[in-house]
Formats: sequence, C-alpha cells, structure tokens
Amino acid sequence: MSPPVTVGIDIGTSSVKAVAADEEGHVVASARVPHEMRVPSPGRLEHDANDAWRAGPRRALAELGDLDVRGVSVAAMVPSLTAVDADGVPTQPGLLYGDDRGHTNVRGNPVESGELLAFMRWLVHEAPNAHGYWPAQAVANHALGGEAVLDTSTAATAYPLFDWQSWDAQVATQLGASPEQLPRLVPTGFAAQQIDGDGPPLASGCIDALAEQLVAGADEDGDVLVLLGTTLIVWAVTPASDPVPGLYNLPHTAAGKMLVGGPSNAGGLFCNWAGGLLGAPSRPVDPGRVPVWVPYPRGERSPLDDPDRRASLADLDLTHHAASVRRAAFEASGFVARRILDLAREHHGINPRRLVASGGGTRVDEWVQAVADATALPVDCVLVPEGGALGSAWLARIAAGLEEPTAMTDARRWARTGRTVEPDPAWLEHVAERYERFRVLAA
Amino acid sequence: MTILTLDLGTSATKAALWSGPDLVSLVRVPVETSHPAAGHAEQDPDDWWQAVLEACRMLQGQVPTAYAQIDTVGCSAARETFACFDDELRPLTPGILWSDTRAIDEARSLGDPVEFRRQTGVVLGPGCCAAKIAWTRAHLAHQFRDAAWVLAPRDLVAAQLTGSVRTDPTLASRTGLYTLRGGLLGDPALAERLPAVASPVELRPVRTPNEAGLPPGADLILGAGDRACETLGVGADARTASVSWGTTANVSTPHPGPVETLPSIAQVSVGPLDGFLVEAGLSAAGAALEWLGRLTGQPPDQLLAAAAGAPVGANGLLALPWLQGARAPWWQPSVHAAFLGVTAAHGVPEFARALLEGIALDVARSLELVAPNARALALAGAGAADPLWRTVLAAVTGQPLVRRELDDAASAGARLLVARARSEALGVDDVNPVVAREAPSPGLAAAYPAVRAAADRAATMVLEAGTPSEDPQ
Repeated sequence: MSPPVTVGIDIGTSSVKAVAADEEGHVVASARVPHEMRVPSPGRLEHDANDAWRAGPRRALAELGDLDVRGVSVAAMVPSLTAVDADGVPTQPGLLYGDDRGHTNVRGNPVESGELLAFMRWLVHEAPNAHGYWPAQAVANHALGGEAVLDTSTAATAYPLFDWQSWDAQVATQLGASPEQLPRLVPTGFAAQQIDGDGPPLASGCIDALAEQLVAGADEDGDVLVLLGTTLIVWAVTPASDPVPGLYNLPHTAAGKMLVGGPSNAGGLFCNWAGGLLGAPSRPVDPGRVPVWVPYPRGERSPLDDPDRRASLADLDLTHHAASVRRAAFEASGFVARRILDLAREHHGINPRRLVASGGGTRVDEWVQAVADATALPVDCVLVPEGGALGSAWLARIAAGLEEPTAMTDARRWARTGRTVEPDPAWLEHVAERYERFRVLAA
Repeated sequence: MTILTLDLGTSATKAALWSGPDLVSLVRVPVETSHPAAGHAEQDPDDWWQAVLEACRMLQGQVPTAYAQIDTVGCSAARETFACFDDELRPLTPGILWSDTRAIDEARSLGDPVEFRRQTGVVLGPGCCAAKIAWTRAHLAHQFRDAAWVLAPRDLVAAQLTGSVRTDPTLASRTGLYTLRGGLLGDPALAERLPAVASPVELRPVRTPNEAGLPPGADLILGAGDRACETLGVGADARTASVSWGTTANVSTPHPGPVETLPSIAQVSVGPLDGFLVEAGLSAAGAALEWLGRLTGQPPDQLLAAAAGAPVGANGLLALPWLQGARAPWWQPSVHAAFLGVTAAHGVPEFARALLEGIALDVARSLELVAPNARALALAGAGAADPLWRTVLAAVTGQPLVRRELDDAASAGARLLVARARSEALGVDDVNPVVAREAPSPGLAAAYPAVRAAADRAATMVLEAGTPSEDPQ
C-alpha cells in the first residue's frame, strides 16, 4: 500500500491530469487522459463534455492505481459550461473560454466580462429544459461524488449570477434559468461530499490557475508567475493595489501580497495554431534572423482587452524558414509577458528578478527559452508542471482535515524548482530589437 | 537557320534550339543562390559558365543533328548581377545578384537619388549595381585590385565563347554607371575593368573549338537584358504592357523616347533595338511562393491548388509580398514582407491566396505608374502557366490578358534579336504566337476594389512602421 496521499485532478484544454501527492508534495503517481479540443468552426472552442469533464476525471483517478487516497479535489479552466440531463450527463458541447458564443460587449476582467453568462444564454436557447447548466468542475464532481457541487472561486466567474454569497435568482431568471438548475455552492477548499458516496472526501474544486498559483512558490516581491498553458497567464507579485490600465490586480494567496497581470491569448493555443501552419523545422535559427509575430489571431485579453484584434507576421524575408517562424511565435508569447511586466513596472515600480513558470508549456524548451530571452529574466520551471493538479491535491488535504482550514498559503511548502532556464546572451540584443518592433507593430 | 538561345536567368539557365521560327527544344539547368547574410544574395560565378555547358550538353544529347547545325547564338541576360574576374576569366569574387541589398552605405554615398535617377534611369538603393560595385571595391579591395574585368554572367559566357569581352547597352544601362545617353560615369580604375559596350545584334564568331561543342562557323550576338528580350518576346507595345512572373514579378513597357520625355518614376533603361524600356520590378513572386512552400512544407503546386479553394480576399488575410524588400511600386527595399489581418480561421490556403493577391495588387499599382495607357497585359514567365495567377491578375488589374505559346518569352526575344542580326523577316507572332486571350471575370473584378483598399491601408501601416534597426548591414 502507498503512503497516504491526496489526489488533485485538473481538467485542461487537451487532457485531464491527475496527481497523487504525499504529505510533502512528492508525486507518488500521475495520470493523463487526453481529450480533443474541438474547433467545429473558427470562432468555436469546445469539448465533448461527456468525455472530457465526466468520463475523463473518473478515468484519470482510476489510472492512478490502488492508493491510500485521503481526499480529492478537481480544478478546471474557466469559464466553461454545458447543459446536463437528470443523470448529470452532458447533452450539449462543453463551451470553453474564448469561444465566440461567450462574446459580449462588456470588456474587462474575465470575472465581469459575462462570458459564462453568454454561454448560459446560448445553452438555455439550445437546451431550454435542461436538468442543469454546469461548469466542468460541477460535471466532474457529480461524476465522482454523485452531486453537482461548485466552489465559490469558480462561481465568481459567473458574476453577477453569483453575488459572492449565492446564486442570484433574478439574474438566473433573466437568463431563462433557475437556481435549481445550477450546482450547489461550497467554498473553495472545503469538503463537499465523498467519492462514490462513501469514499474519501471530495473538495468543492477550484479554478486551475488558482490551484497552480498555490504551489508555484512565486510569493515574494520580484517573483513573476507565468503559466504556460493554452492561455498564457502572467502574475507579478506586487505590494501595490492601485489599478493598472489593461491589467488585473488581485489579492495573492500569499498574505499581504497582490498580483498584477492577467491572461493573454498568446499561449499554447496561439503557438500550436501558428506551428500548425508550418512544415517540419529542419535548420537551426540564426538569432538575428527571426520575423515578428503579433500573436492575436483570436483577439487579445491583457492588456489590450480587444477580442477583435488581429494577428500579423512581419519583417519576413527569404531567409526565414519554418524554425525561425516557429521561434517568432514563442518569442511573441514572451513579448506579451514582457509588455505586461513593463506596464506593472511603470505603474507599481516592481522590479522583476525571476519568472516562475508552471503548466504543460514548461516541457517545451523552445518556449521557455524564448520567454527567458524576451523578458531577459531567468525562468524557474516548477518541478511538477501539472500545477493545477498538484495545487488541487493540496486543497484536498485541507478538505480532508490534514491541513488547517486556513492553510491555503502553506502550499508553498510544496513548491519546487525543476530547472532554471537563463536568458541566452547571444540572443538578448536581437530579441530586444524585435521587442521594440513588436511594440510598434502591435500598437 | 538553326539558332541557339541562351537565357541566363537568376534561378536557371535556359537553352533553346530553334529551327527557323520554330522552337525545337528547351532545357533548363538550375543555378543555386546562397544567402550567406541577411540582404546578401550570391552565386558562384563558375556556375554561370558550367550551367551553360550543362544545358548545351543536354541539347546536344536531345537533338544532336540540329545542334551540329547551329549557325547563330543569341543571349538573354540577367542584369545587375556581376562578379570580378582576372584576365583569364577566373572569378575573384562571389557573383553578387541583382536582388542583393548589401550596399546601403555605398548607395547613400552615390549622391542624390533623384539626380542619379534622372541621369541614369536607375533607382538608387542598396540593390543598385553601381552601389554594389562600390561595396566590392571597399570590402573586397584586393580582389578588385587584381581584377581585369567586372562582368555580368552573359558577358562572361560571351567572352568564353568568342574570346571577346563585351557587354551590350541594355545591361550597361542598368548598372547605374552610364547615363541614359550612354556616357560613362565611373572613374578610370573602374572604367578600365568594364567591358566595351557593343550592339546587341553585332555578330561575332564563336571560337573553334569551344567547350560548348558549337560547330565551326557559328556566330554569337550578345543579345540583350532579360527584361528587354521578354518585352520583345511577348510583343509588348504602347498599349500592351508586359507582366512577368518569374523569381520576381515585373511590369514593363517600351517607350520611344527621347530621354527628355521619359517618365520620372520607375526604372528606365536603354531598349534593345531603339527607344527605352520603362519597368517596375516588384519583389519576390515565384520566389515568394517557393518560400511559402518551404515554410509550410507544401510544394508550390499544392499551395496554388489550396489557394484556388480559398475565397477572393482570402477571408480578410492580407499579404505584403515584400520578401526581397518593398520594390516597385514602393521603392523602400528595407521594408519587408508581412501578413496582416490574421485570425485563427486562416490556414495555409488563405496565406497562399493572400500572397498571390498581394503580388497582383503590386502589379496593378505598378501598372498605374508605368503603363497607365495599357489596355491589355502580355504574360511572361513561369507564372503565366498558372490559371489562378491569370484569373487573379486579370481581376485585380481589370485588364484582359494575352498569353503566347512560350512563357519563357526572353528566349523568344533573343530569337527575334538573332532575326534582326541575320535580317530574317520574322515577327513575334512567328516565333511566339498568341494562344489565349482571357478577359477579367466581372464578378471577381467587382470584388477586388475592397481588397485593394484594405491592402492599401495595410501597406501604409507597415511602411510607416518603418524597418527593424537590425536591417542588413
């Protein structure tokens, strides 16, 4: 039998990841169950919710093997939503962040942009009498424990439907739904039910990025958390709380600290799409011969907040080849991070000294190197890239009573650096020039 | 008459054998170009001669009897490409191509571009031949000092075949070293390394024996620059502009002169027989498609098929096809290519279509500048064989297209120059008859003004964004 473990499950864009961690955060077992991100038309991004949100988490848990599991918690990307029948089985596609069915005229903080509410409007129209309208976490919690529960941090993405206390019946009515069709709310980090009714405690769940942040260890002034996922998310630790135009400023899980930054579309979704245009890279890249991508084929979030922004690829000449254009895509991701940091520096006087990178993108060496070069900062890649799953395993400890209920920030105890990627001096000058070009072209 | 034409192009040497007005056989031998540094484009000058020998061997193998009867050789020649040679015609420097833009500082030192353009007809920029010769003198000083000759590929080949080192006025006129009236601007150190300028149609005996295996008694004419030959070979005139799609695209039209009446924009050079040639040399065309093919891992014919399936305007994707710098009609060679308006809905088909449309749009803009009176377009170059290019070109320009039998029109032009030298009564319709006329599709022609307007805005934006500071040194 294994040592006692808790399990974190993270429903991501391309797979469900599960890790079982011991008391010290060492990963005892892990599993990955891939699923398809469907793009049925260019503006649409969806999952087969039955596969990705309902079956995937159960399979991932099973694939961890026979373990002494003391608690489980599920994280997922936000916002997400589907419609389910009385058995909790999705009857509609699982809509994902960035899908144009979530487009509204409201700009700003994703919490307030109404993307999830627009999803609900669409689903109510498509499936008016659905048993429920549930985000991915609730679908997974139902599959694992029998009841659709949602944590309050995820529910916050449904503001003003969620009014920070409960579902607002009036807003629900306006959307053509009722609170009975929505999951039961339980605060993040609390036990909500038990696996299969009589198994270990199942926590309410969490937003993936929040769980990732808990165990990344980017908690000091000068630290910058960079989540290299489908979405690129940049959070600089800052003592200041005054607003920065175009960026979000949120309380950090670390006491007394704030985070300034935000999400960008220049993450894996962009890099994979751009890479999909290219043939196999066959040659090394000359540091001085790289074109410049303006990486907004799906519009941009921070700091431009413009879903209609378009991408461009400029400064192209005949010497450029697949590998140089591929490098340009990764650099563009780094340029977006650098611009967010420049804004934070300008307004908060922060002085970034290192990036802490988490997410599946940390396995893509070219991406990490390009981000290091573009920001001219060393990148500490976390030892466990499945940060959303590892952070959830920590939340499962709290839900299981293995940690104090207030021990959210103690999760840094689990933070470990796997490797550090330094900026390459041979590239810095060239990349800095291209950053200036990016600033001009993206203006 | 049995005639050999040699078309010394940038990417290939083409040798054609003619019996009277009829083309018997045409062969191509590719010539490799390297880009050892940004903005540099070079060839090995030994390849210029070896490619000719290889092409001759191929023809000799294919049609040995006709080859043995060759009585005249005529050339069509890439311009603005040169290398330095010693007195035994051994190369001392790399061949620096017309597309090479290394001579940024040297171009600035050649004085006021407006005055330079007025005197020589040549647009002064880092790709200007005179500037690159100045670069060679500064950076390869030893080689230049030891050089007996500064020669174009055709000059080398003609010298190898006849023993006489000469060039013709159409090539000389594009170097920026001569005024449009023929006066030499170079200093004595340069002047003594330049070949004498002789008539394109003057017959000179080919040496016997010669490495190319040409029969005794054959004569050679220098012929003319490729563009001059091409306009002859497609029958371009005051109302019919020549539009060529090769490695680059080009719009050319003959002009009767005199010098005072020539337009003050675009390149002007001396014509092959009389008058002048006004031309707008665009950035990459065939080279752009091949580049996109290498980038995407899809060969150009596959790209064209995909592009044909994408809608007019490529769903809002715009390309500024300036992979060799923004040449005509912009003449800002340090600004390079861009794709704009890109969304996740776009894939390789839209990129390919946008590139093709971007090239056609630059052709349309160039036509308005250099051939505003054109009422038809005569097609030349390999691109003429592609139905999509023809459809897009006709729709974007609103002009009917005339296609002749031989898209390698420069060879037909060289053949016509031989006819002039030999006093044969042959015209363009004899050696290169019209095979098709194609009117613009009204539906497509109506759709392109909106694309043009969007592309004009995109071009302005990119030109205003200027150039990277790491531009080729």
